[in-house]
Amino acid sequence: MAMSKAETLPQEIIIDILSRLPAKFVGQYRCVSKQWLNFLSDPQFIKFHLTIHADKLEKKLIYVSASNSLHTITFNHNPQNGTTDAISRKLNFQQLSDNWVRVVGSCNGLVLVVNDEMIKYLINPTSLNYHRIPNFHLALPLPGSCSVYGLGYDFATDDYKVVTLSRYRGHIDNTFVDVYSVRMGLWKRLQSLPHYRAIRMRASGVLVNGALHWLARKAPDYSYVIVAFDLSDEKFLEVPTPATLDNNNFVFNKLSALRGCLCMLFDTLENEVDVWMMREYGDVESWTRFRIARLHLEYGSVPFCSIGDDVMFY
Amino acid sequence: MASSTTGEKKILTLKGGDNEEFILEESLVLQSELLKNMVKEERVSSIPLPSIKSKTLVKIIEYLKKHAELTPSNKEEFKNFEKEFVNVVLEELLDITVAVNYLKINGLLEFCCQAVADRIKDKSVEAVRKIFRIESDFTPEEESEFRKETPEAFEGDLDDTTN
Repeated sequence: MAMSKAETLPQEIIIDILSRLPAKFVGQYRCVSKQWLNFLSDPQFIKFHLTIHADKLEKKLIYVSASNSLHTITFNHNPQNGTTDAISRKLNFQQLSDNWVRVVGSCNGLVLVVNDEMIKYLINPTSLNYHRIPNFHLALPLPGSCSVYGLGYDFATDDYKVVTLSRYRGHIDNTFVDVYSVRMGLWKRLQSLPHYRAIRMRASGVLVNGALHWLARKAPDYSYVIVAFDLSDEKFLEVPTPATLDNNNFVFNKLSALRGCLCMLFDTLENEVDVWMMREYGDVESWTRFRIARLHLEYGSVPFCSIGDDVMFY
Repeated sequence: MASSTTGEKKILTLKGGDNEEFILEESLVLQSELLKNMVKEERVSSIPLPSIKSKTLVKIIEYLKKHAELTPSNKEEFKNFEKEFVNVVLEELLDITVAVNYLKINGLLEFCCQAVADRIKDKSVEAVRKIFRIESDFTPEEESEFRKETPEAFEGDLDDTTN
């Protein structure tokens, strides 16, 4: 009988097949051989895998419960009867205690969480891997200051970055910008951002188009602006808001990303959310307004996508 | 030499690995980038494909015929055909995948790779090694480290019978 073709499979076919596996097997099959370990750890492969699976990722939410533990919610759609089940799971990290306070960012299935000692952890809710973000010696002292956070991925350097914007209480016009590179394990302070202050001190950076976005007010008249921090060139830009909005009297006080588009949200009293969506990033003409029903979920639920452990701790 | 005169349907012969001959319309093989280039540039009427088993070639020709008949109205039927098409033992599916890669039939290649991925997921590391005929080249120490770190990788479906 003829031999199987398995051993004559060209390398590019093996890689193509492996890139179609669900993320959890990408991690597991690294144990098959040294060659597979190399294939499956290659940043190019991981990027390819993310691209292929981007539209079929299992969507999940993560939140901190009243007892300070972390929970994920997975939605399972049942096509037979058209219903959707929500399954909640508590995350148990063997060496970390449940003193979580807030989920402050997510990117490619990784989640940035803060505990009650204000220590930040980058966690993978699927594999339960985690990385403690060290404290920055230049970080502003607590209490007496306030900060907002963001987590993003820089394709140019294949690096995850944690960004904090902080200012002293009372000093409203100078925002310090600190960036942590997960790849290098290092913090650095960038040039501070004068004339702006981030509003809603709990609002985390919204990741769209390779940049983190915050709502801010701009001196001298404190009009509302959207500032974008580009994760690759590490510079701030302003994103134009809808032309018809009065920038001195803003009700759209929350940013979000829906279907990959930057959105400004306003909770109406009628259990609906008023949405402005920028359909084409950077194009002021593309802002579109619509309303969606409000979903009642745990306060502070943050969506993330499940992708297993392929991207973390290379 | 041209295989036939213009106006008539051009006929082409494919020769499988065991010298079995398959006669088909030239338009069908244009879905394969490799054969398209051979037909267009070299104007051949018979193409030997010694590396492809006849059994595999039969399957691929069956696909080419079905795909050529695909219209918006029989999409569902085609999808069912595709499902049946990859419903073969894994070894045969791998043979088809290698041949499709060689012939450069791009849409089918993607479909085959996905089908292989769907079949090997849930398998344990041991089963995957057998299917792909890979010997572990890790030291026993590294191997036991893996077993400690990712025990679930070794707990999957041990069935390597590939069907």
